[in-house]
Amino acid sequence: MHPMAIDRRAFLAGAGGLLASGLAAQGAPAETRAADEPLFAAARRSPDGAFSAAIFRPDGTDVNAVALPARGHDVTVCPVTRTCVAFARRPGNFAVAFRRDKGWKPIRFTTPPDRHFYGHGIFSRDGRILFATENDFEAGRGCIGLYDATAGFRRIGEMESHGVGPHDIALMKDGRTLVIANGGIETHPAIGGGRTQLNRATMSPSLAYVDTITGDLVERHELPEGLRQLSLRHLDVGAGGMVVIGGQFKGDVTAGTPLILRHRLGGLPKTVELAADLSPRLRGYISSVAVDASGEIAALTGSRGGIVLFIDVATGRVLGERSLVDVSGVAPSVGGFLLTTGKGEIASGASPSQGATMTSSTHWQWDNHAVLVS
Amino acid sequence: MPTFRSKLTALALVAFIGAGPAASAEQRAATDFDHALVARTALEKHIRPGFRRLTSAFAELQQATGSCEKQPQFRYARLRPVFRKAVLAWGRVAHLNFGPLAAENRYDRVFFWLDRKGIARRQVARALKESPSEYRDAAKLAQSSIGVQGLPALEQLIATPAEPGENSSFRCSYAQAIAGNLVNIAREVEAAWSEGGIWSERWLTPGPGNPTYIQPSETTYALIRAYLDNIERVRDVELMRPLGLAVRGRDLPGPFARSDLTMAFIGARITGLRSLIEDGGLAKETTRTAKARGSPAAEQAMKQVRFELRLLTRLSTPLTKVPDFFGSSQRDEAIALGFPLKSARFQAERAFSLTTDLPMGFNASDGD
Repeated sequence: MHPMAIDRRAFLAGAGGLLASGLAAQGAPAETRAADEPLFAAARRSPDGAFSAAIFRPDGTDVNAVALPARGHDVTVCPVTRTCVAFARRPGNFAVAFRRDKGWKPIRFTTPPDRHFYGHGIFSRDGRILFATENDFEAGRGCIGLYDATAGFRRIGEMESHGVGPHDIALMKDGRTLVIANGGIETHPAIGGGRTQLNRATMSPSLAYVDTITGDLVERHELPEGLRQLSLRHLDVGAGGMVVIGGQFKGDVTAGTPLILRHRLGGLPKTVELAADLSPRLRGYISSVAVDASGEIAALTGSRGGIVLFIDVATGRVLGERSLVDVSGVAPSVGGFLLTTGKGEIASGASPSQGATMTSSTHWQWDNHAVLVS
Repeated sequence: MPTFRSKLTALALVAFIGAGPAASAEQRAATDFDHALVARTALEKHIRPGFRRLTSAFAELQQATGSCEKQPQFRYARLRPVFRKAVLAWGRVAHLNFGPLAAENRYDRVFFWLDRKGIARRQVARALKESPSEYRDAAKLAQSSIGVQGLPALEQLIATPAEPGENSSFRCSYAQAIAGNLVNIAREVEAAWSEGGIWSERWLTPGPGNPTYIQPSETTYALIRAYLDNIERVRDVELMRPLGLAVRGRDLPGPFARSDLTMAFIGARITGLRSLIEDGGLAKETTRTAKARGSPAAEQAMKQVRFELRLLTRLSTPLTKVPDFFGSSQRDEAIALGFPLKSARFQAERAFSLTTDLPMGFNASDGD
């Protein structure tokens, strides 16, 4: 039986009265704030080595923060309640839900013992279900864990990710289809701290689209032999349903090694043409991807190269680049993108046409990703 | 008086300097890390000698397997000394998994490990039952599954007894083919790194026309990553598993466990990594740059790296000589390698970060 089957019935049965029941009980954020003040969330490490996740202003001040038991990775935001969920970095198995409202008690939840998180998740459009990328490590199989946000993030089932090593995940504009970057890399938490690649010679990255209602595979694309070493990691969805995917190349990076793909359902993945020196300067590594509010411009960070790259979502044309040491987190913001670095900087307003303004230099080491909360 | 905002703007200007062309040798200040010098030193004193040694050890292996077909009762135990030599030569270069060794799956063809699900082991066992003709020829074997053509496959032939009714001439021919394949791979890598070889040229002449190394710092980055990634792997994967220190870790053996060469291999890995730091010029240039920059922290960190690597050599050498080390009462002594391995990585990252200006940040070094 498909592991999702039982839970899907419960999910569908409750879907009609959704807002009237679970989410309404949770309530909308009570705290008020200046309407034009954007807030962001990210995981981070303090100088004394403690890990936390925070909702913060562009000037680096915290609105709220929660301690994490180990290093976090990404944060995802509920589109209805604005609840933030910070995930453990792989091979961690914890996640913590928190809100900007300090009066709201954080909820910590975990994967089952035979699964771990990959650091990413996404809420359903109605905010009821949290989908998280996970590793069924004994089987070497990727899966998507389903957590009921209206019931303390109880795990209610799982679906296939249709690939190995699922990493980032997003919801398509139809509100029903998930797009999953299957990195193709097999790991096991008991080997090399869960970060050692066990299948270098046979890695098979893929991009999969899965129907959240039926659990069925909608479309799947394996990368061709020449791109077999391009581990698909991070993605975001732009205008017209164009998915922008950033990869990390696991072989020697040479001029023109593709690192970025674009894909629209029904078509074939297309590589973004990069200037000859760009892939080596990026050291074959894209850390994070975010599309702006218009859906027309994507920003991709490369922490190893200290580069922020902007591309036109529709055409794949590179619009420009900026340098920033250890940059990784990127989130859409007013007038461009907010950037965070492992050296503590927060910069706002980065766009193809202008450099960002450094809005804060904090003592935090900001982790891989940043997201816009509201 | 400048406002906080204007200070931040100034910071922004500093931070958003576009990536310009690398400084030429003439422009290089004394405080700059000499990437070209390290590239040449590493190539001449570490990379080339390492792969020459590998070719030679594999050639000996080929020669030793060559006599088996003339002896119907060939004892595979006779291969063990040359196999050990080949494993040690491999251990000393296994960290150089970039350039020609990474190309065409050469690394995995030589050393398909960890085989957690036993795929290659089963493939080799099946071959011994079915005697496929393509496994008798080095060139054809090179086109076969990656897991059946390298050192772990040969180890299986050497270390496992023949099944009743097994075609003994096949095991011999298969061993010859593996050895021949290993020699071919090693020669290809050695040629690519030799004077005038394609990777040698790329390595020594970074620049806009170079398909792999555009800025001089990129060769240094390749060496540093090789060091950091591999010293971590020795500790967290190759050593921790046989010691059973990892969660649910007791069920998987270390590399070359069937031939009782795990500790010998780890000893060779430490020797190779130490050679990369010392012979490859990283220690010397890091120390020089640290002094030129007036950075006692970097200087001290590199001193500690060198100390830890010396200590690791001293600690591991006697352990490599204990027969059936992981089955012996001395196995727990390998735990002593854990901290120096960790420290040799951490301090190196610190030293390189302070002297090379390469990205060693929170995300750049350890992102996901």
